[in-house]
Amino acid sequence: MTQDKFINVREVLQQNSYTTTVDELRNRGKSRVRVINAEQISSLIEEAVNRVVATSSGMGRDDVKKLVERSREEFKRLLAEREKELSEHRERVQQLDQSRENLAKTTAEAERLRIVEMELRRQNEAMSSQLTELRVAAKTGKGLAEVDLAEMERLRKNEAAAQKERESLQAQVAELRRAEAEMRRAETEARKEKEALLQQIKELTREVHELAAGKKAEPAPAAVSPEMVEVLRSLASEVASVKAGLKEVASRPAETAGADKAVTDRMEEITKALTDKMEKIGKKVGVSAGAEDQEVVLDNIFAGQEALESNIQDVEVKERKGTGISGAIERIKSLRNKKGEKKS
Amino acid sequence: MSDRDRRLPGLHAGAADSRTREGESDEGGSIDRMSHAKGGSSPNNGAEAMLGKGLDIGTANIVASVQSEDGEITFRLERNAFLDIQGDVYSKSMLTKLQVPYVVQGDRLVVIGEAAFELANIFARETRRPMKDGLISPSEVDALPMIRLIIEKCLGKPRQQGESVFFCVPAESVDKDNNVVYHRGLFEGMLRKMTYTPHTIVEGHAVVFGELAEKDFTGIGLSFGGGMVNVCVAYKTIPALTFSVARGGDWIDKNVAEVLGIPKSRATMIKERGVNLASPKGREEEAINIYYRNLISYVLQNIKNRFEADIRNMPSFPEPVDIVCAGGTSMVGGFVDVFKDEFAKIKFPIPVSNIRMASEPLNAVAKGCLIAAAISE
Repeated sequence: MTQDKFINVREVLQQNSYTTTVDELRNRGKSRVRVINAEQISSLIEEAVNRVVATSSGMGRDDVKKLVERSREEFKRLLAEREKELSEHRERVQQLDQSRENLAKTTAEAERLRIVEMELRRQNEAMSSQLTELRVAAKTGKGLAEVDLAEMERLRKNEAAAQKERESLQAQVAELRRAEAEMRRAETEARKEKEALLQQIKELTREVHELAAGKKAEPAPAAVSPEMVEVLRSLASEVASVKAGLKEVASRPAETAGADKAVTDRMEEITKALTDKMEKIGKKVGVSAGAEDQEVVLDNIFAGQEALESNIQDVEVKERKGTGISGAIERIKSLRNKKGEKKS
Repeated sequence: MSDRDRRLPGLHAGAADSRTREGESDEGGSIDRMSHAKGGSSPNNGAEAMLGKGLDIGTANIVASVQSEDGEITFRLERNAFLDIQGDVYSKSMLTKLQVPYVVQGDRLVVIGEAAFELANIFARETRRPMKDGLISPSEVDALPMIRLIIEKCLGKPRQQGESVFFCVPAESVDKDNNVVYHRGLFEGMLRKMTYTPHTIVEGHAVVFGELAEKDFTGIGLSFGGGMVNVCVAYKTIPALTFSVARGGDWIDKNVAEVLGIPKSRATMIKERGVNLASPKGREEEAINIYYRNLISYVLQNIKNRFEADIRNMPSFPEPVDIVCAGGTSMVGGFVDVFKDEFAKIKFPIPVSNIRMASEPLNAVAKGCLIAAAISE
C-alpha cells in the first residue's frame, strides 16, 4: 500500500537525510545515537495523519477510508481529464505541426513565385526598353510603332467627325431635295408656258414665211393663257407691221435681194421683241433666261509689274513629245458635218 | 515612277536652233522663234505650224502644249511651286551654276518649279504654292510674278500676235464656293499681257477632247489634279454635266502627312516615288491607299448624285460609255484597280463599258486644250 500513499515517507526521509560515519559523529561530540527504521517512521506518520484527520473532521475510520476512496476516484477522474487534455493538446500540437509544415510549403511557393515575378519584371523591363527603342526609331523614320497608335487615334477621331458630317449632310440633302422638288414643280409650269410661247412663235414664223412667199395665211387660233393676252396683242401688232413691210417689199420685185434682207431684219426684230416678252413673262412666273457672264478684265493687275531679276530664261524646262491630235480634229469636224447635214 | 522620271529632258524656248519664220512679225520681240519650225523640210509639204496653244494651269503642275508644223505635239511642264531662301551672293552663284531657276525678290531668292520641291524635301520645309484647290491662292499674294514666270517659260512667246491659247478652268465646285470668275479673269489678263488671245475650257471637258476621240467624244472625263477633281459627262463633244470637287492630290498629301506626322512635301514625295495602291507596303502606303479610296469613292458618289438629281436633262446613252482618268494624281500605281473596286460598290446611273487611264495622264488636259484651240482656229 505504500504506493497508494500520498507521501512516500521513506523517500522523503531519504531525500532530507544524509549518510555519515561513526567517526564523524564522534568528531562532532556524539558518542551515542538513537536509530529508527524508515518503515516505522512512515507508518508512524501515516498513523499520525489518520489520527489528525479523524480528530479534526470528526470522521471515523470508515469515513476516512471512504474519503480516501473518493479522493482516489477524484484523482482518477482528474487524471483521465488531464490525460484527455493532454491528448487534445497533443492533437493540437500535431495540427500545429501540420499547419507549420503547410506554412513552410506556402512560404516556399511564395518564394518561388517571387522569383518568377522578378523574372517577369525583368522581362517586362526589357520589353519596355525595346518599345522605347522602337518609338525612338519610329520618330527617326526607322519604324512606326508610335505612329501606328497615333494614326489609329486619328482615324477614330476622323470617323466620328465624318459620322457627324454625314448626318449633317444627310439633313442638308433632305432639305435640298425638298427645295429641288419645289423647283421642279415651278420648272414644269414654266416649261408649259414656254412651250405655249414657242408654239406661238412657230405659228407667227410660219405666217411670216407664208407672207414672204406671197401666200395668204389665216392667222392661227391662239390657245393662250390669260397672262399672255397682252403679249399676244403686242405680237399681233408686230405681225401687222411685218405684213405691211412685206407688202411694200413685194411691190418692188426688182429689189429681191434687198427684200430678203428686209425680211431677215424684220425677223430679227420680231425675235428680239418675242425674247423680251418671254423674259418679261418668265420673270412673272419666276423663270429667267439668266444673266450672261460679263467679262472680267483684270489686265491692270499686271500693268505695274516690273521685270524681276531671274535666271529662268537660261534654265531648261522639262519637255516631252506627245501623240498627234489630227485624228481627234478630223473626228470633231466629221461630227460637226453630220450635225449640219441633219439640220439642213 | 516619279513625275521627274516621266518627264523627258528637252530644249527650252529660245534655244540656239530657233529661227524666225518668214512673214512672222517680230514687233516688240514678242514672237516666239519656235524650235520646231523647220521650213520646207516638214513632212506636210511646207504647211504652216498650226496656230493655237493649250495650257493646263493646275494646282500642282503647269503644262503647255503646242503643235509644230509637222504635226508633232510638244508638252512643256513645270511644277507650280516655289520656295524662298536667304539671298546672298554665294547662294545666287550656286543656283546659277546648278541651273536652278530663281527670282530675286528683295533680299531673298525665290526658287521656282521642280527645284523648289526638291529643295523643300531636302530641308524638310513646305513649298509655297501659287494655287490652292484649283484656283489662284488668296493666301499667296506674292505668287503672281512666280506663276507668270512659270507660264511664260512653259508657253513661250506667241508665234503670231494674238495667237489663241485655250487654258483650262475648274468647273463649279460641289463642295466649295470657288471664285472662278477672278481666277479666269486673272489668267486672261496675264495671257493678254503676253500678247496671246486667251480662251477658256472647263478642265473635265478638255479631258474628253484629249482622250475620248475614238468614242466620238462621248463618255466621262475625269481629271484628278492636285487641288481638285474635275468631272465632265459628255455626249458627242457636248458636256451634259460638269462639276468639280475640292479634293485632290493635295488633300491626300495633307491627310497622310497629318496621320504620319510628317511634312506635306514628304507625303507628296512618298506618293510620287512609286506607290502601288493594289498592294500597299507599310503604314505610309496604307495611309495613302485609304485616302485614295476615299477620294475616288467621293468623286463617284458625287457623279451619281448630280446625274440623278438632273436626270431629265441628262443624255440617255444608247451604248455603255468609257470612263477615262487623267491628271497627275491618277498616275499612282494600281489607280484603275482601286477605281474599279470603288465603282463596283455603287449603283452607277450610267452604263459603263470600260474604265481606263488616259494615254498621257499628266498631259491629257493640255492636249484637250490644244485640240480646242485647233478647232477654233
